[in-house]
Formats: sequence, C-alpha cells, structure tokens
Amino acid sequence: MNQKFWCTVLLWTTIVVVATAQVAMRTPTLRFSASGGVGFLFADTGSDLDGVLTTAKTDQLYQSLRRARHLSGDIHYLFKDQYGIGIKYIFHHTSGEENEVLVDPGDNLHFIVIDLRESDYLNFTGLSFGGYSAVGKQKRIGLTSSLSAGYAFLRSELSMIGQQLLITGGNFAMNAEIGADYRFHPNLGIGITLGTFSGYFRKVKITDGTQTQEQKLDKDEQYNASNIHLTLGLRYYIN
Amino acid sequence: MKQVKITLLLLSLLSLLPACDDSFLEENRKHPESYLLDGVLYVNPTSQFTGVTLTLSGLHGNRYKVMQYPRILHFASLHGEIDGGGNLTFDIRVDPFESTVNLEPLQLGTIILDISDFGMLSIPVVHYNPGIPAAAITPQQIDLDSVSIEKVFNISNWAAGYLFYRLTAKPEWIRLQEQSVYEDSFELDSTRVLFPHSQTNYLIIPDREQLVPGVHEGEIILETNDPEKPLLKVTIKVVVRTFKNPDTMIPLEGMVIDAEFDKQSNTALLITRNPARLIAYQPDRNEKREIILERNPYSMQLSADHQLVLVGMNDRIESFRLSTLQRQESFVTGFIVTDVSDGENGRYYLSDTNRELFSVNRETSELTNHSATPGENRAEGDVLLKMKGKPMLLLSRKENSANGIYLVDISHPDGAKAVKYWYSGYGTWYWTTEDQRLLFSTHDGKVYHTPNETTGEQIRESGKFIPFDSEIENFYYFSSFDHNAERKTIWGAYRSIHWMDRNIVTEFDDQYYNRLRTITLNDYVFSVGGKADYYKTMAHYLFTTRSGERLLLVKNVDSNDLTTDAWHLETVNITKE
Repeated sequence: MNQKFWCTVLLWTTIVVVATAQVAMRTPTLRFSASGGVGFLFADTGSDLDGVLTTAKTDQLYQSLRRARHLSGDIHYLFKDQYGIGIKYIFHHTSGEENEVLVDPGDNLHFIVIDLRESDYLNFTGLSFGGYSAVGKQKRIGLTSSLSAGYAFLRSELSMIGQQLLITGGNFAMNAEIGADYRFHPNLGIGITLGTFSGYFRKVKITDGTQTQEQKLDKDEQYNASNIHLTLGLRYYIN
Repeated sequence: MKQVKITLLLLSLLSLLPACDDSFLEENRKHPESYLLDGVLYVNPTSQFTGVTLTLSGLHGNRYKVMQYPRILHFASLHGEIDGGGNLTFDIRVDPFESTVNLEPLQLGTIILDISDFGMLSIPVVHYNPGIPAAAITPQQIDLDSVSIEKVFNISNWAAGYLFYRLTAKPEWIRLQEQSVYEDSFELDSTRVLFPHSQTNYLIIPDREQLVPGVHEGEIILETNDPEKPLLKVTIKVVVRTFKNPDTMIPLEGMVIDAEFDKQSNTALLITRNPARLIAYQPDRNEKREIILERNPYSMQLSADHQLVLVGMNDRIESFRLSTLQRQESFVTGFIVTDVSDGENGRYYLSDTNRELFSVNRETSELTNHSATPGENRAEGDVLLKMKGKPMLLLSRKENSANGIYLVDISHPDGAKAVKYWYSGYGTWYWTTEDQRLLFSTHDGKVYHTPNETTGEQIRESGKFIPFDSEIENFYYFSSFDHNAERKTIWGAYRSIHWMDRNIVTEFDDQYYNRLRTITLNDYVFSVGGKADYYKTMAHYLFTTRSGERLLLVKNVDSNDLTTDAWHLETVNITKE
C-alpha cells in the first residue's frame, strides 16, 4: 500500500513539473528509451532456510539477491504535447551463490554441506502513461515520468543440495519512474531514471525438468520482486 | 541511425537469452555413481586436527567436496584435491564424547564426498572401544603323544576388555575346535572374541594319518589385541607310530600260565599253553630258548638251588635244568598240579585242584597226600611258598576270599602238619622280598611281615604301596611284585581296569614304600581281522634283573573289546640317568 502511494505522488509531481516547464524546444511525438542500471529489492528476507547453521553465508546470499541488474525500454507516444501513452518493458536479474553452507538435516547425527545458487529473472511488460517536459533555454533537458501497469513474469533458477529447480510465475505489477533526458541531438539523448517496481508472485510453478507442480505460496513465502532502480540510457526522439 | 536501432534491439534480445535457457535442469538427470568405502574410519576424540588419507587407486587430480559429515567431526577444509598417487587427504578433529567399552562399534555417521569425475563416496565413521583385555593361554606345551585323540588348551581374559584373537598359524595336522561348541572348527585367519572376565577351552585334535612315523612338532599362534601379549603360542608335539612293535618286545605264542625269574642267572622263565612250552629268556644276551612240554603246564617254580625248573602239569611234575632246559625228572601224579615247591628235604610239594597238599619223594617217586586225613592239623591250598632255610610251607587258596594262610610244618619228611592258620589273604600268588621277610598283597598293595610260627593272631602290617594318588584306595590292585635287594626297590605291576586308564608299573623304595617313579606301559601292536592297531597292555608279571638295570614285563593286551592272547615279553631299560 505504501509503495502505491509513493508511486502516485511521484507521478503527480512529474505532471506538475512538466506542466510548469517553459516550452522552448519542440516536444517529440515519439520517445524511445533504452536504459540499464541497478536495482535494489525491497524484500527483507532473512535466513529462513530450516536447519541452516552458517547463517552468515545465507545472509550474504540474500543480500546478493537483493542487488539486481536492471534493463528497461519503453516507447511513448506523446499525443498531447507533454503527456503520452506507450508500452514499457523491464528486465531485471538478480543472482547469488554461496558454497559450503552447513545445514542440519535433523537426524541428530550429520551436517550437510550444500552449495546454494539462485538466479532470478523478471520480465515486465505493461501499458505506460508517461510525461515529458523540456526545461532550459535550449530545451535540451527533459523531465520525464511514467507509470506503468502490466504483467510480470518471474523465472527463478535454483540450485540446492545437488538439485536444480526452475520456478516460474506471473502476476500483475506496476512500475513508476521519474527521470531526466539530455538531448544532445534533436533525435538523440541520454537519460537517467529513478524508479520503483512493485510486484508479488503468489502462485508459482516448480519444475525439476521431469516433474512440475504448481504451488500457491503463503503470504510470508511470496516472492517479492518490488525494488527501486536507478538507470542510465539512450533516448531516441521522433519529433 | 537505422543501424543504431538494430543494434539496440539486438542487445536487448541478447540480454534476454540467459533468462530462457532451461538446460541447467539437465543436471537433474545426471545421477552420480555412489560408492561405499570398503572399510570404515575409526576415530577417537582429538584436540588437534589429524590427517586422514584414503588411497583411491585410479584417481588422481580429481577435486572433492565434503557433502555430509558426522556432526561430531570438524573438517579443516571442506574441499580438496586427490594427489598424483591417488591419495585423498583431509584433516579432521573429533569432539570429545563418552566412550564406553563395547563389543559393537559406535556408529557416528557417514562422510560423503563428492569427487569430480567419479561420484559420491560414502565413508562410515565409527568409534570403537573394546577395552584392554588380558590374554593368557595354558598350557603352552601340549604333548599329544602317540595315542591321544585330543587335548585341551585354555584361553582366558580376566580383564574388563574384549579379547580378540586370530589364528595365524597352526600345524596342518591338527584341527582346533572350541570345546563348548558342537561341530566347531577354528580355521586359520579367523578371528574370535572372548568377553571380559571369561575363558574358553579348545580341543586340539590331531590327524596322524597324514604324517609319516616319527615325532612332529608345530606351533599354534594366536594374534590378540592385548597390547601386553600380542601373541599367544602353544607348542604341539605328536608322535606317529610305525605299527610295528619294537625289538624290545618279544611276542609269546599262546597263553602265559606262570612266570619266574632267576636273579642268579638273570633268566626269565615262562610256561605257556597252546602251545605248551617252557621258555627261558636271558636279557643280557637277548637270548630266548624254549622247549615243548608234553602236558599242559599249570604251575612253575625254581628249585631251592636255582638249578632246576619245576613245572606242574596235567598228570605230572617235571623238572628241567635251567641252563639247558633239558628234562631231569618226571613224576606222574594222576592229577593236575596247581602249584609246586621244592621242600629242600628230598621232596617236591604240590597241590591239586581240590587244594589238597601232596609231596613226592624225588628218589622213590612215592606220592603222599598230606590232606587225606581230616583233623586239626589238616592243611589245604593250591598256592605254595617254601620258607627259605626253614622246614615250613605257606599254603593259600586262590579262589577263596579270604584266601586263608596255613603255616605247614614239613620237618618230618613223611608228614605235613598245619601249625597255624590266619583268616587273611594276599591274593592268588605269594610275592615276597628276596629274603622273604616281607609279603606283598595283590589285593590292596599292603605289605605284611611274612607270618611264621611266632606270629600271633594278627599278621603285622609294614606299610602300603600307593601306585597313584586317589581317594578310592579300594582300587589299589596289583598283579605282581618284584623286589630288588641290590637296588632296594620294589616294583609293582598295577592290575588295570580299562576305564581307569592306569596301565602302569610303579617303583617304590623298600623301606618306606614311597613311590619313586611310574612307567606307563607301551602299547602293543596286534592284528585283529588283518588290521594292525595299538592296544593298551597290562603287565601280569614283572621282574628286575639282578643289577636292577632292566625291567622284564610279561604283558598281554588290556582291551575291553579284545579278549585274546597277545602275550609278549618286554624289556624296559630302567637305569636312572
């Protein structure tokens, strides 16, 4: 609920900024954006694996999994000078690996040594409402914002105790961003974006390659892909 | 610009590629080989890391990871690499834990190693504390001699630990069997355990058939976990016989009826039936002479001057010269002569089967029946002993109990008068010291002062021969005695009973009758049904040579199953070293 609130605030702030900007350079009709950067997941997951003795390692693993590589791209058609509609695609990837993690199997006799490896891929595609407002004398700088809603696909590759698992799932998600473009050419620019993504996965499909099962996750087990991200990218404008 | 667009598009697609590759799931289809180490890792609590090395032939350079380990262990490193020699080495430390003495190992868990290009290797980890045993074995030397079918040795463990013992060596010609286990066989290289504070017996069973005649020795060696006695040894000796009698045994044909020994000429004299023979054997020359008797003999005695051999026969008495065995005299009696004695008064005294006492005049051949007239002085008997230097005879009865003893006065040549009688007995023969001062009883081994005309109602005892230590004195039976005045010893031939396994002759001193030595009689090879075998023997007569260097034994086989005549004369050297 808090995330949705802040996304709404960000969107309206952007709209206000754009609305008050002095228009000196022609606002593009189509804006293409491709960005890459880093993200940081909000999910504060502790070492919740049963029996893990070396919790420092699993803590480190989860910290790794909170740091995401973020790619995104969008196309917005600015149909009303400063506002537009378009589509947005987001991809982010997190991964982590820890070796020689000690686990108590509960037989009161042994310790098990496992290597943990996890790679999570998230693809989001959604309808996006965006804003663009040029500022400055030469209008080279444009303030941007967008609010996207769509469907997110999760793909999580797990390796644990010698077993490889693929977990997939999907759910509706949202993304909100604000940013700034610098147009060094009438058709080209670079931009920086700060955004937040909100997405949860409550139902997943787990497969080991031979057997597949669907699993509905309890609230405390849901995969929380929500994150904040900072990206840099290229912009292409069609005036 | 168009190129830029295409490039951006391609880069975007490439970034998505890793997110769509499911090939990593193929790893799940690979099932690594699992191996169980042919052995276990024994551990004890250690405060320091200790190296453990496994040699895995065929592997070198493979990396390994520890996948599982008992929680009581600590690894210095959970991964490593097998060296060029196939040695997989890791360092472990073991937490302290309570260790109690137990026969079974304490299972601590399993180490599982994931070895690259090989598979999973499981290593059981155990702790073993059998305690400290105290091994002992007795006896350490066993003589199976030539006849023993088995003998026993004992292994004991009088300590709180378990004793493990492994049979590492034994002669091929013995078999070992735990005495308390039916049809057991303790084989080479097998290991057994003895519980704390316990013992067990093993039978040693020889197999002489695979051995050549002679003496064979070998060793039983047991390896133990007793740090004080890691090896237990028992020396085994066995004798394999030749199934031939030695030259010291001279077979005698027929049944020996009586035997005498003349110490003056060192000559043994024997009479036999079937065939009826008189045999003289001179041990110094190992010379045996014999003549055929015309009648079956029943008794024999030397003349008082040791020149003649008197033989009581069926229907007559005959005398033979000792030196030549030539017949000297022959007196027809008309009855079986059960005993004969030289009266030293020109008469031979003799008895018949009715225990009547006769005498025959050597010059006239006149036969006188001294028992014919009933009365107070009538004497009877079928065992005669002439008192040396006295006109006295001692008479006794073989088959009566008690035998009874008559003292008979023969001072008058034509008469024989019983002057004393004692309700007592000493067996079927009179055996005395050389000077006849003492008389030995074959009934119970007692020694008596030979009775005479001055002896009162009771015949005085002098002592007793005890051939072996036993609580049952009734079994002190003897068949014969020999006194050697020169050696001052008395030999007694024990009249064995099969189940008592006392086939012995025993030497006593002639003053206090202390037992000096015991000789177990040699077995005798005898063929029954064409199969030769060794049989236990019993000495019916025994004599020492004059100087006491040899023992002459007149023996027969002593077998419960075999009632036959296998008489033989054996010479035993009894010179003391």
